[in-house]
Amino acid sequence: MMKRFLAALLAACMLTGALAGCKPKAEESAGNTAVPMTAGRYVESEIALPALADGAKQMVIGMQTEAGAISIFTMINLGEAEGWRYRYFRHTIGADGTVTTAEETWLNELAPFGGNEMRVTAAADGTLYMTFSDFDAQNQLVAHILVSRDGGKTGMELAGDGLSDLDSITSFGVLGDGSMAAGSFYSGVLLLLDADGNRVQELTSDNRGPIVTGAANGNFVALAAIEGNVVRVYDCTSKTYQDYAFSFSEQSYPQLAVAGDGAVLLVDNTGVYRHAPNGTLWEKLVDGETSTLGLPNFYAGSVRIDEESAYPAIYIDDVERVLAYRYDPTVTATADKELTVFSLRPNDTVRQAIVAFSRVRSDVKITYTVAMDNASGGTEQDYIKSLNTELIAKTGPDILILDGLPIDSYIEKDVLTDLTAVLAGTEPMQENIRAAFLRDGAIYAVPTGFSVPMAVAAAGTETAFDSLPKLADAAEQAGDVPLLTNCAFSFRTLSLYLIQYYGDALQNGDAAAVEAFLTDAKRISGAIGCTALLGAGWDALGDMSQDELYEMCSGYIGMPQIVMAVGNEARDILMQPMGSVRACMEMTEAAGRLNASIVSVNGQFVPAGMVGVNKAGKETEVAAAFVRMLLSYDAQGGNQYAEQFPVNVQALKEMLAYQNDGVSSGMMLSDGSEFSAEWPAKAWRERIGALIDTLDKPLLTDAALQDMLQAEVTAYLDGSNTLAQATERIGSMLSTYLSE
Amino acid sequence: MFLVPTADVVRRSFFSAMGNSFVGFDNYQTVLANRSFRLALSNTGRFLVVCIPLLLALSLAVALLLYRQRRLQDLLRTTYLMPLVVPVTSVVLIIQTVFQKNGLLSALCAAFGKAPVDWLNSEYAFYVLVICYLWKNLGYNVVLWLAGLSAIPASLYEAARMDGATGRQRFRYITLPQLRPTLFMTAVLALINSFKVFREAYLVAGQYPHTSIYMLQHVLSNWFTNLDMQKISAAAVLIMAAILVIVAVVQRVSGGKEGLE
Repeated sequence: MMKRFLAALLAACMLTGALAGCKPKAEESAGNTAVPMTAGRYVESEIALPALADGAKQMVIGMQTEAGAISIFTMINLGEAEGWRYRYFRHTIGADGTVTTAEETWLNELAPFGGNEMRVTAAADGTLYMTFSDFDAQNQLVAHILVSRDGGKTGMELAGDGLSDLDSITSFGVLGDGSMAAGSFYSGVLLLLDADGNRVQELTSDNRGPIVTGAANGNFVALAAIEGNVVRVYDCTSKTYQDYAFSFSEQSYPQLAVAGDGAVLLVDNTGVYRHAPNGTLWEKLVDGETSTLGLPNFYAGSVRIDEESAYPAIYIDDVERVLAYRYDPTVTATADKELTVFSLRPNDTVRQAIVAFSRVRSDVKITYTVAMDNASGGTEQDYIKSLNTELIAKTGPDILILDGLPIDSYIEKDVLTDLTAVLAGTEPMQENIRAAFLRDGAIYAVPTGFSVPMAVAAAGTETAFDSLPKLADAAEQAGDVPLLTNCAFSFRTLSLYLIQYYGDALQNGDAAAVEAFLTDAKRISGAIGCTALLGAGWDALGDMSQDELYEMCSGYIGMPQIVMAVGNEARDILMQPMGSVRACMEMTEAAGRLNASIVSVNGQFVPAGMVGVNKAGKETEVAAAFVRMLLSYDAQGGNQYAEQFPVNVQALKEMLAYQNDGVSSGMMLSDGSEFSAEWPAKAWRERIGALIDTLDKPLLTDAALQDMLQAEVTAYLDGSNTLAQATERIGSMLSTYLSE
Repeated sequence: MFLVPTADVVRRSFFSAMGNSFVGFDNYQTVLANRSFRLALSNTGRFLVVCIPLLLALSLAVALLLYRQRRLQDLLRTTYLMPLVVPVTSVVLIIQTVFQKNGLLSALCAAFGKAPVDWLNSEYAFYVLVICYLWKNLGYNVVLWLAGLSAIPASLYEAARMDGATGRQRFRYITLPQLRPTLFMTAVLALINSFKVFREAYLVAGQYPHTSIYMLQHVLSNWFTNLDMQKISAAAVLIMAAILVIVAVVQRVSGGKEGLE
C-alpha cells in the first residue's frame, strides 16, 4: 500500500514538474515578452587612404590620434629609376573629415632606403619615432630608432647601447617620461631603453616563453607571451606587474596597445579584447568572426587608441589599410536574427562577405560553419551525411556553399531555393557564367568565383584543345617536337587531366563513348611518349620522388610544361585551372616567348564557392541579402591575389586592369638559363578577359567518380588492361554509379 | 525506443525525399528496379549464403575439437575473442598489406612465377571479405558453441554409451538436437555480424568497391550522401522485412524459441 502511495506521489511530482516547465514564464505570459536589448557596440569601418597625386601604391607604417583626428603615415617606393628610394607621407584626417597630406621630410632624409619592419610610433607628447632594421656591412641585422621631437620637421637617429642588443624592432612603445620599450619578435626579448636608447633593463615574462609583442604608454608596458598564455603589464613607477591570462588561438599574431590608465587592448584574428586595470576578465569588444580581423589575409600591424571619449575609438592597420572601430550607441549589442552558413572547406569570399554584411546589417549574427577545418577528423562523406541529417530534419543552415556537396541531388530533392529573383537584385555578374547555371528558367546555385582551364597553343594548334579527338589528332600530327611533354604527363597525370577536362563523354556510361575516350587517350599517350614516370628531361626535379612529382603535377602541372616548352621540348602547354591574373604570370610569359596563343579548354570553367539557399531556412530575406553581398564588389573586389576570378563584373574588370610591376617569379630552365615572369601585360590581360567572356560550360567534378575512372584509364594506358577489359570495367563501374 | 524511428522510416518510405509529398509505393518500385540495389542485394545475399553456413560449420567443428580438450581450451580462451578487439583500421591495414597488388600475397605469387593480382579490385575481393569475416567471428562463435555444448547433460552421453551408441550416433542423436537452441542464437548473431563486415569493405575499397563486394550498406551509404532518404527508407523497410523472415525461418528450423524458453 505504502509502495503504491509513494509511486503515485512520485508520478504526480514528475507530472507537475513537467507541466510547470512547459508553462510560459510570468513576465512572458504578462505580454511583455521583449527583453530590453542592450544598445551600443563597436562598429567597423575602413578609412580610405587619401590617394597621392601619381596614384602610387602606399604602405601604411603608423598612426597617430589626437582629438578625434587621425594621422596615417605611409610610404611609397620610387622604383628602380630612383634607386628604390622611399618617400614618406602623413595624411591627417580631421574630426570634420578634412584631409591634409604632407611629406615627412625627416624620414625622407633619415631613411631614404628604408629597411625591414618599418613603423612610425607617436608618443603621447607628439614626439615621433620610426623603428626599422637593416643589414650592416657584415651582413648583420641592425636595429634603428629615429626620433623627431619637432612634429616631423627634423629628426635624428638614437645611438644608445640598447640598440645593439636588438636584431630588429617589431614592437615599440614610448612611456610618459620618454623612455621606450622595444622588442623583437624574432629574438623574443623586450628591452626598456632610456630616452637616448640606452639599455635600462630587460622585461621578462619569467618562464612563460618568449615575448612576441609589447606596447607602452604612460607608466605601463604590456607584453604578450603566447606560449605562456599571458599578457603581463608592468607598472614602471611602482616596479610591479600583473599577469592577465589569455588563451591565444593557434597561429595568433597579437598586437597590444596600452591606455593611459593601464587598460590593455589585445588584437588578434579572433577579435579585439580589453582588460581593465586590476580587472579580472577580458572584455571582447569586436568579434573576429564578423570583422576584417578574422580574414585569412589580415595581420594587424599596429593598434592605436583614441582616448578622447568614454568609449575610445580603436584604429588597426595591416600595412595596406586602416580599420576604425568606433562605438555606436544606436546599434543593438546583440543581434536579433541569426544566419547560418555552411561550407565543407574554408571559403575566403564567404569570410569577406560576412565582414561586409556585418558592417551593414548589425541586426544579424552570422554563424559560419566550416565542416572540414584543420581540427576536423572525419571524412568528406561523414560531414555531408551530417549535413543531410540536418536538411532532412529541416534544421539545416540557411546558406549552403555547395562545393563538394551533391548539388544536382539537392536541386532534384527541392532543397534549394530558386535564386532568380535574388540575382535580379545583385550587382552585375558575369553574364555567361550566370547563364551556365540556368535550369528550366531557374537558377538554384551560382558560383562566387571560377577558375579557367587554359592552354598555350602554338600556331596551327589553336583548336586542338576543343575536344579529345582534336587533341589526339594534333598530338599525332605534331612531328618531331611532341605536342605536350611527357615530363609532366605520365600515364596517371594524363588520365587525370583528360578525365577532368574531357571526361563528360564518360558520364553516361555509353560503351562506345568509353571506348572512343580510351582510344583517343591512348593515341595522345603514345604520341607524346607517356611512361609511368614523371620529370623526364628536367634535371632540377631529380631530387623529388615520383609521389612528390605526382602531387605537384596533379595540382600545378604548368611549371614542368613551361620549362620543357620554352626549351623547345614540347609545342603546347595544358594548364591546370587558373584563378587569377597573378596565377597566369608564367603562362603568359611562356606564351609570349613561344609566340603562341592562350586558349580555353572547350569553353569550360571550374565554378567555385557555389552558393545556394536552403528552402527550409528560417531567414529567407536575410539569406537573400547575404547572397547579394556574396556576389557584390564589397565581397569580391580588391583582392588581386584571390585564388578565383570573381564573378562580379566590377571586381573582375578591376582584377584584369590591375598592373603590378613589383612582382616577378623566376626559375632555372633545364639548360641552366633563367626563366623569369613579370605581371601579365595589358594585352595578355585583355586576352584573358576576352577568353573569360566565351566560357559557357561549368566543369563540375565528382571526386569519387574521377578517382575510379583515373585508376582504370591509367591501367589501360600502361597496358595492364586491354581496351575491351578497360571498357568493360569502366562500363560496369559507371553502371553501378549511375544507377544509384 | 526504437519503435518511433522505425515508424518514421516506414512513413518516409511512402513520401518524397524531403517528406513533402505522398508518393504511395513509388519508392519501393524505384528501389526494386534499381540496378545498384539489386546488385548490392545479390552480393549481400551471396555473402550471407556463403559465410553463415561456413562460419557455423567451422566454428562448430572447432568447438567440438576443443570441447574435450580442457587444457587446450584454457590455453586458447583468451585468443577466441582477440579478432573482435582488434581495431578495424588495423584489420584494414593488414588486409591491404596482404592483398593489395604489390602486397604479400602477390609477392608470394611472384615467387612462383605468377603475375601480381590486385586481389581487392577483382573477383577475389569477395573471398577476401569472406576470409576477413570468418577470421573475425570464428572465435566468438566457438565460444557460443562451447557454451551450448556445456549445457548438454553428461548423463545423456553416458546413457547412450551404455546403450552402445557410437560417437557419430551420439553426435547425430544427442549433440545436434541439444544444440538447436544455440544454433538459433548463433545463427542470428552471425547474421547480425555479417552486416558489420561493411566497415572493412568500406575502408579497404571506399564508396565504390569492386562490384563483387558492393554491399547493401554501400548503396545505402551512397544514397544517404545524395540525400535519397526516400530510397533508403523503402530499402530499409524491405531489408527489415527480409531479416524478420530469415529470423523466423531460422527460429522454426532450430526450434529456437522453445529452446530459449
